[in-house]
Amino acid sequence: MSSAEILQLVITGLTVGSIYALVGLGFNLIFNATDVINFAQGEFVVLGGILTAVAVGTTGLPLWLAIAVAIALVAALGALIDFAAISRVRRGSVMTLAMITLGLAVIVKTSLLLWVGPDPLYFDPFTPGPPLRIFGAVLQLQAIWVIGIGVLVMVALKFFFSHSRVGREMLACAIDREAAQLMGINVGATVRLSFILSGALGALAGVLITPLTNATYDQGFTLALKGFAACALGGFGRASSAILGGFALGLIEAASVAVLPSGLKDSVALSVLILALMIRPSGLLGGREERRHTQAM
Amino acid sequence: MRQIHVLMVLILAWLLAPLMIHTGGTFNLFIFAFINLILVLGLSLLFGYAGQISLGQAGFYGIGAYMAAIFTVRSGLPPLVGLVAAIIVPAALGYVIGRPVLRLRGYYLAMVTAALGLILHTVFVEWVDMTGGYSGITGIPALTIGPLSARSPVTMYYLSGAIGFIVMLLALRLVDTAYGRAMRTMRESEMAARSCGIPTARLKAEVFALSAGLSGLAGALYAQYVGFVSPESFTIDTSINLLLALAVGGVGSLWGAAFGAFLLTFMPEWFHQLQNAYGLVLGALVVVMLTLEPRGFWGILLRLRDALAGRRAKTA
Amino acid sequence: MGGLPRWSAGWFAVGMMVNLGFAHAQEPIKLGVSEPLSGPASSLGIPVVESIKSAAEFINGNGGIDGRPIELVIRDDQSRADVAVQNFRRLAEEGVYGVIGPNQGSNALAVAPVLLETKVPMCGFQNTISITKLGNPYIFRCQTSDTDNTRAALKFASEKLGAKNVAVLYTGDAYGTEAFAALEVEAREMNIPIVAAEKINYGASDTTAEWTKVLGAQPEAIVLWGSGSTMSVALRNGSQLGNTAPIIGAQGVAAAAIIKSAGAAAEGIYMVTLNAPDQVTPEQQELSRIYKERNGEDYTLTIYDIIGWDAVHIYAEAIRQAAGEKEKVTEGLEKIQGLKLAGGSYTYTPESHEGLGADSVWIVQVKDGAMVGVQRGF
Repeated sequence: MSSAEILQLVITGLTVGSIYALVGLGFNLIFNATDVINFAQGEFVVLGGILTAVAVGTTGLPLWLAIAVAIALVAALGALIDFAAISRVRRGSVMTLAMITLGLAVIVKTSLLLWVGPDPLYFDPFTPGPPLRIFGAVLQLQAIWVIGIGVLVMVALKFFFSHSRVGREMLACAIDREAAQLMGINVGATVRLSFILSGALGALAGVLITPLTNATYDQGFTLALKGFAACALGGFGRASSAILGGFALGLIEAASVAVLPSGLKDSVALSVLILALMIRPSGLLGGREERRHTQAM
Repeated sequence: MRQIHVLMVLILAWLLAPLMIHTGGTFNLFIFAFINLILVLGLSLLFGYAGQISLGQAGFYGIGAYMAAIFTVRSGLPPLVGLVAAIIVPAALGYVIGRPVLRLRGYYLAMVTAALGLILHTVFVEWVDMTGGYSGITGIPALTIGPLSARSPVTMYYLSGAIGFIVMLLALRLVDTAYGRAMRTMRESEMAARSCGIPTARLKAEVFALSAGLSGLAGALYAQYVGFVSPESFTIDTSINLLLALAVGGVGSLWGAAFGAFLLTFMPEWFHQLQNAYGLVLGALVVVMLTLEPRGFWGILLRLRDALAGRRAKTA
Repeated sequence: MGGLPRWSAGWFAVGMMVNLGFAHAQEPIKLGVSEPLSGPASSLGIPVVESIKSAAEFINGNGGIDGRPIELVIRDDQSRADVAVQNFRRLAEEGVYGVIGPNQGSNALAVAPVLLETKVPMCGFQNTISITKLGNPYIFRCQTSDTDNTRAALKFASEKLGAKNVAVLYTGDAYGTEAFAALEVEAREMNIPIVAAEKINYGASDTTAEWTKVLGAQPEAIVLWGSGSTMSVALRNGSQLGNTAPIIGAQGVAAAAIIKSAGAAAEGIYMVTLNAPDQVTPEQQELSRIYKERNGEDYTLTIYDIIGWDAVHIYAEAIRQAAGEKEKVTEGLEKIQGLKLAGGSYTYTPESHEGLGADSVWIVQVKDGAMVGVQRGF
């Protein structure tokens, strides 16, 4: 393989990896706060892309405004999900909650199909212009945005968790919810915030990637799985593990296209998930997966 | 035992129903209801007694169907061989994957099975030499005994119903054996189970293998009846629908599972006018039901029973 | 015999026969339809069923088939092959004279064995080459065959566009892979080298890897063969990677939804299709009038309007040829010679169930987002 092809691979890998990392982060937030796997995480991404595309296409809003509106709407949806369903389930386990998110994912997906149809939607890249050529590889301008904004957000989140009071409270809930409550932390509000953030992160990922690949109503579930794979690969504990996992997953997937037929691309990421959990469940960075002692489920 | 009585009444109804059914379409529905019953029962055993959910049933279902197809159409062996392979191969795969993953606390199995289901779907699509890709495998010879063929709706109604009832009976029995009690202990508290010396990891893997094998059996029945298999019948949506059906019917109970399976089969017929919008009905049903009563319809029945018993106690 | 005059017996007999004939004539002719009304292919199925209904209404309004009205029995196949298989079985049970559909190539291959069981003919909308080569006497094609379509694409590329070589991007389903096999054979015959060929995953959301490989070979024209939303993805990717070579797409690409979704990337591409929306042929006048009345003067006919309309008329003619006998409909279809309908001139023989020939193939180009006819007949 030539160095140009390798470079192209790395670029593609980092670009999709950024998306997987954002989805994985969203997963992590909710998982840490509630022990629930949010099956609707992928739908947040798709919604972000489709809402922006519709806003730009039909109402003619300027792009930055459409993006802001889309992200805000999806964040609000996250809050709504917590308010209407998650926080109301008193009897029942996290399994029940997980299945509720699954039902919600089906609702979102069907609604999108009815609303915008089965065809992919697009909007223009943030900055117009031909792709850059670097040492024989093609670098789309949008890809720079994806990686750039992705990394910025991840750094911002790190600061948020370590330096802000709200962030540290979220971490505390993640470590031990009962202890956090005893310390006076409002767990309910923390959970609500984690859903809002998750929604916003997911929508942001969708907004970043749609100019490159498109937003289609049924992409959600596979994206969710890949986000989960990012978490599994990195390790479920710290947020930074999901980030590393996401980029690693992106690179592995991009590399596989070089050797395998492209139809198998998704399967590679999924196999990574299965292998990661089978062989080294604590992930590459060894997250704190056995954190909670309260319930087995 | 009361449950056996209920079962016997149902079996009687099933035996006599064909006297009143006249269209092939209705038989068709019941056949698929029985196939779905076997699939959802497998899920129910897995959740109710190992506390895990699987989003990959469609994958095992598909393996079963393709085994039945490949062993007969491609290798020319009798349908019975396909049937056996349809059960054993998914079960073995389930055990191999389940063993290491089920060691972990938490519910990673959901994601792993979802991933597995998607991978298997990709295999069905891409391994064209073996599976025919999107064009599938057609002309699967039906199991025939004399004049009775698995392709005929009436015969299949009885065959699938018989197998469905047998699986239900065995599942009900399983719960009462030492094995079943071990599984329930494990579900209540894994630590307690382990301190009793129950090999939890192995047990969980065995239940997973059982549920996978049942899915394979359902797949073989499907292949026999429809005579054609293609990847579109075995997608992640199929797995999701099965799990949601279980959730609505009631995860903790085999009867809930049965109810969920029949609901899953008949609801699309009732709502077929909605076409694409049907997903909203299913999703909304799940969200509303689980938010109000996590134990599903079975839970509602239990609440009714308790309310009635309470009232009776008051008047006594 | 006294009493009634002798000749009255004859009139009485005639009267009786006319009466019996009338009772028979009123009995409706059931025509089955199995199309995707839900699921990913529903954007194809729904307009087709609309035009089928329009055609049936039209024929019934003009006396039906030898006095007998058409009764449509419509079933949704949910874009799935397994549902299509069951539909065909149940339609046969209901006594239909023939089935219109299915829409997708893989569904047609799936239902083929069922036809042998039910002996009810099928009029399908597939371009997929192999469906008429299975040796199945009940499969009839109500579309152009990709054998003609691929040849037209190559001829156009070399003669009109002056391309001395081509590259091919095709989807991995039967539609794409069979077309590619045909392209290879025809390209060799015409001495046009295929410098690159990449298979795209049906339903893929990203084709940049395949495009990169194709563009590396520097082709002078690119043939894109597939259907579904992946086609708009492919068009966009090509444009993103800076492709300047002309693109000739399959009929699966010539869908309004795909053109719209691809945006600027679709501008200027050529496509093989069944009609040019900007030019109404004499046979399309009636259909065009009906649709303009319904949808407004600006309405232009789409492929789906045409194929549904034609399929019903084909069956009407076949049933006439069969003198209204259900068992003879297949034979009746094979007697159709040069039947001029909206899509072109249909001819079936016992040896060939293809229907349309290369003279019905159009190549159109996308100008300002609309399809404009360039050449008909190859």
